[in-house]
Amino acid sequence: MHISEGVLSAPVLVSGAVLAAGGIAVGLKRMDYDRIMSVAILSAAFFVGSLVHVPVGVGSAHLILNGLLGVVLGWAAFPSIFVALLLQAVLFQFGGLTVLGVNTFNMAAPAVLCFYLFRPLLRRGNGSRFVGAFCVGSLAVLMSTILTSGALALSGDQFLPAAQAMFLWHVPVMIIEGVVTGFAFSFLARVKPEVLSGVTA
Amino acid sequence: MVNRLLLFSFLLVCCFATAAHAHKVNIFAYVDGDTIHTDSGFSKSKRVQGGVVHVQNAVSGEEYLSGVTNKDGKFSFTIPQQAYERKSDLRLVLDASQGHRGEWLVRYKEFGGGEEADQADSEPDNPQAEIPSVENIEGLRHIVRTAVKKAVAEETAPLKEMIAEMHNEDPGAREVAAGLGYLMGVVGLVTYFRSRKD
Repeated sequence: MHISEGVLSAPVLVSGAVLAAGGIAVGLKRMDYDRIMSVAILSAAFFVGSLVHVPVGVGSAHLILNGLLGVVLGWAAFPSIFVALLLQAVLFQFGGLTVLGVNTFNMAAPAVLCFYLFRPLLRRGNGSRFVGAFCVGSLAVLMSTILTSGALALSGDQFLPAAQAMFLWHVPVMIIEGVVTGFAFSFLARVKPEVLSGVTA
Repeated sequence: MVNRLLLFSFLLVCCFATAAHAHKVNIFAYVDGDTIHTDSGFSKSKRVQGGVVHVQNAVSGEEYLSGVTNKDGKFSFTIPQQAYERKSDLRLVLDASQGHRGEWLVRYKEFGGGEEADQADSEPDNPQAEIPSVENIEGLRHIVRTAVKKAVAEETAPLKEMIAEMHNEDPGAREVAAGLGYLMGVVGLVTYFRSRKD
């Protein structure tokens, strides 16, 4: 779901950059610097996750893992995703530097939103915890497809067909990420609950 | 915690990393006579099927034609007459939907160079004595040139295909290692400055 250079119109690029900058500022302000290693490791997971290929019919999609970042990091997902996308743009030529803001917002905003939406569920016992994390994992991807189609629509694409195609394309990714996020969150909650202080706080 | 998380991330990646493909779209094009062949893919094995290739004047952006890639990600077209007339470079823009876009530039000299070469060669700097005496030297020259061009085209076709494939190289271990290294560096810097503050 990396939008390439030269696709979006200037107003969309600028608004994306402003929104992303705002998110990053809030993220940096709220970030607990003792947990910088969690932020970096999840950034690394996001960075590498884009190489993990999920076969979808004739094409392929890749893991995004923004839900996982949201559930563990909360607002710190913004700077974390920004750095990972920057490295992907520079080293892998995914996306691009001018679209970095839009791509960051499209991936990080759903992560943060889902984190707040499902926080009550995540605080409960084992079963609901898994369900909550599953929802965060898959819904974050779903919202990202909507935001990405929205950005494309604002630059001239038809919204509904694009959103539909992108949604169908990412259904397998949503399921996989839901499961991954569910297990990862349950695992962390059992083994290292202090990593998830953002949820319990 | 760090070790566990790290281990977990690695396991996670290993679980799925049977085939590492990703989303960078590439378009590669080469000239064959009066035809341009394009090859578009997300990676080496995943081709862009049904992507739209726009053929534009590289300077003015005027669109000459467009076409759709087949199931192998290929699309071929005859070089538009306007491109010869205006001696313009061609920009091929691949729109692979969902915000994926790639570009390739075909320079005028790649397809229109023949004429210029003709003119340059027709200056008789090569010893004509070596050419067997034929009544129509120009005619012979044309025949030889066409034959050589054809032979060279046949010989280089696999090379062009090979270059097309190399152009679609996926990011490898080197890029991944570099990225992880940068991340560690950033963390190091942040912790360093935090520790100086305290």
